[in-house]
Amino acid sequence: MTITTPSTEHQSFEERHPAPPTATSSPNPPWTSQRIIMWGLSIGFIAASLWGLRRVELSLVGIIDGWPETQNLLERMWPPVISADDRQVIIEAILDTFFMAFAGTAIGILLSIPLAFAAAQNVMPWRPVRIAARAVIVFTRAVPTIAFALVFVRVYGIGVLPGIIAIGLHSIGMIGKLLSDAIEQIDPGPREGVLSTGAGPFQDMVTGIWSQITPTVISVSLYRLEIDFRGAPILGFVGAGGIGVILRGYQGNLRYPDLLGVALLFVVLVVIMEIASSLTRRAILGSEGGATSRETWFTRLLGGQKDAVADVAAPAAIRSRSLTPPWTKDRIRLNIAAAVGALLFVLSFVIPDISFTEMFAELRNLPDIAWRLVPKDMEWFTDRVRGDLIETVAIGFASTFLALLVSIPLAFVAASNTAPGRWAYRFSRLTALMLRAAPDIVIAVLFVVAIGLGPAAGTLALAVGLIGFATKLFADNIEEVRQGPRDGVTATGASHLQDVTTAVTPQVLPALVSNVLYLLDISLRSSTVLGIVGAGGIGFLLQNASKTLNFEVMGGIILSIFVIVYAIELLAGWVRRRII
Amino acid sequence: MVPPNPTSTTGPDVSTATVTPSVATSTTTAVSVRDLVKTFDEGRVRALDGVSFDVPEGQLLVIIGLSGSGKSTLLRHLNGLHTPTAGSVEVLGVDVPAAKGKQLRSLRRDVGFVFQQFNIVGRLSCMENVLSGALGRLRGPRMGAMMYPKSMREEALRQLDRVGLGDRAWQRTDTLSGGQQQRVAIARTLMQNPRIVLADEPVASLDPEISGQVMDLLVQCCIEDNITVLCSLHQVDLALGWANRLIGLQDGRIVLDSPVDPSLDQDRVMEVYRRLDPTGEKADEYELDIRG
Repeated sequence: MTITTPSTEHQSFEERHPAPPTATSSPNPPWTSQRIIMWGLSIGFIAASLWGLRRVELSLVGIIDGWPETQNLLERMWPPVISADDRQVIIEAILDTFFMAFAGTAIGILLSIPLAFAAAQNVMPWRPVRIAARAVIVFTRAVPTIAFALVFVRVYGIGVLPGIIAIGLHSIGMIGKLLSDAIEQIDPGPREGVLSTGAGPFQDMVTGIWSQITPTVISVSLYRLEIDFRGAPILGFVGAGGIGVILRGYQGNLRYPDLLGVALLFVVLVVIMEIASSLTRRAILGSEGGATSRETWFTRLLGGQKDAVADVAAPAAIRSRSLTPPWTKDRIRLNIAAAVGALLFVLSFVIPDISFTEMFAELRNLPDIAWRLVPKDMEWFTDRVRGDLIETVAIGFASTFLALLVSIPLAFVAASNTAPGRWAYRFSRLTALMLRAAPDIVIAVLFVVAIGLGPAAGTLALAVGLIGFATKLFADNIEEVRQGPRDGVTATGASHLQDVTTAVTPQVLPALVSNVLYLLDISLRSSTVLGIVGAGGIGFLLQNASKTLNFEVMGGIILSIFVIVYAIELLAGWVRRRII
Repeated sequence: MVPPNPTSTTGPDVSTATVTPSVATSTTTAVSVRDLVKTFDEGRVRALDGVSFDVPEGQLLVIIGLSGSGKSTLLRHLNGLHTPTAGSVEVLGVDVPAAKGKQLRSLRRDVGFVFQQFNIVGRLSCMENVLSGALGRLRGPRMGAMMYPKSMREEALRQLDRVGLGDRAWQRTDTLSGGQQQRVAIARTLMQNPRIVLADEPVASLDPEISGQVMDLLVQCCIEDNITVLCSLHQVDLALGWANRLIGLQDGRIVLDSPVDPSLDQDRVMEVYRRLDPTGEKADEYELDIRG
């Protein structure tokens, strides 16, 4: 070992404290920085979760005590019905919801693409522009759709339009981030090739970069469309159109069987939508579907798309000497998809009857409203706001904790390589899918009916939704585990359970930790909307402020949400760098 | 020393000039490098350490040296992919480090680059990749082959024919073999109608047999189009048939600069090897069998 005088900054614990040459260390594992972080995080997370559970007054005893009452309420919901009188309205609302999600996602994509290029380090040489673009992306990601919707309902009035714009703006956050990451990760070689021919910056962007990221653009867009469709019901609760309007009506009129019926119908639609989206993705991209597999959590969400590496046989040479590209299957599919996409985009403005002129005309007022949203003093920060913000955080921690209790064991059943049997695997995957498909707000409405208003209902609702999501995430992590170490452990005579704990768990641990933080991020964001249906958290005050046109309070609350969500994101990023 | 360069102001006629056999005016200097120094990592790594040489137009120059001797770094200075720490680089009468924006792009148009890793876009067809060689002549971005004029598509098809891939025009390049991919990259470079081709280990990723074929193809096309070639290679034997000058690099310095003529026999080549690799430890980097 050479003796150097290194800067101690970027070194791990081991490098700074090399083990003595006589390697007979203590029988206990050393306290490496990784281990300290892991323990610190675990203890911190559990403590925060227990505090959260106390804060939302959720306890096992309470649930058991209140069970007869809950059962009574549940019986009032059963059996679910879809009222024949409302059928027409429901169909219209579903169409509105779909087109709202579609138009919103499309606008989000269109706005994200230039932002993603501007935010990518290997494209934009000017730092200030990059920082500005990143700031927009981070802000739109951290501010929930509902907050945008509440603002734009004030701009455009009640209807689908504010919903579209809210979805579009919030989508920028995720699409912009994933695309700019994809741009930064492209192979620089082909770009050098293009630049070496004397191409200019825009030619480079199209030929050198865009042609490399198209598969990512397509899968991110479809994935975002799924999310936006699933998330769209909440918008109706604040007057931004869609199926949420109907759910709110049923909730208000205490028509619980109808409420359950429409909720279940929507869940089924979400599942259909997911299947359609995954079929579309495969049809357009073919084996390329896995092209984004370098993304960590994101591809796992897509599910089932393992990297189709070299086993794809090269297709027969296209022996055409024409000067126009031949109509291959791929090209036909891509063109059809593009045509359908364009048609749906037009329809999504025609069917809900939205005028572009109105959309742009009202944008004039935007700077004014943006200014009114900026809190000029701290008057908005009342004790009530502070209490509700704390409650929001409590709900976030508590629901993540509850979800983990169920989903971590369930994930081992839902992963094909650790499942105890095929039927168990299928059943748990299906359960996860159904739970995942149910929008938070729909579950929250049902829980409010079942156990009454308050943060406890919100916490349980979020937890249930997260179970589906987390189980799928973790199960996919587990399926990516390498078989080698497992064979090694099994060869020593270990049992199935020992194999799982010794060979599988250590391999998934980094992904697990990083995904737990991601889940916390999601649940904190979701917990801000629960208040709108009376399930606790800051959402209630946010909606009140919107109703009473109290813009400064709205702005203050939105800023607080941003700070909380962004803080968790920063923490997650830091932990990810340290552990993985 | 700035040599007069009467021809550098007018580029070749884009639509007709595929083969313009003209008499090589060996008096014109294509590349002039003076005291070129390049350091990386804040001066800790010295990749080039005072390199100077001139290349007259029409010369076929081969640069040999071990990995890390500075061959790639040197070539990448010649089309502005690197900027020098010190020294001057002049290509076709243009001061490369000072060239920016439009001037740099028009220089790059005249200077083709063939990469070891091909650097073509795998998701695009051969045709689209070759057409991208014409981007320097066009304004604005192009998405898809149909956005290039028909004459250019015809030209691209001709270039693909030259490299023997005319019937693969619309096949995606990531479904091609390595040798075929490099041929597409060569066609893209030819599509530029370059006056100089810089080839950075163009066959290092290919197996020996394919290497020979691809190398022959590249050189043949360049001779046909009267293009000056600067090519870095590991395998000297691939160069002996056509190169008319050898430069040996070692640790960022020129240790050998010799014309290749009939007098250069096997013994002198051996000498080159020994000078580059006195201990013989890295002899396996060369494809030629070294005995004694």
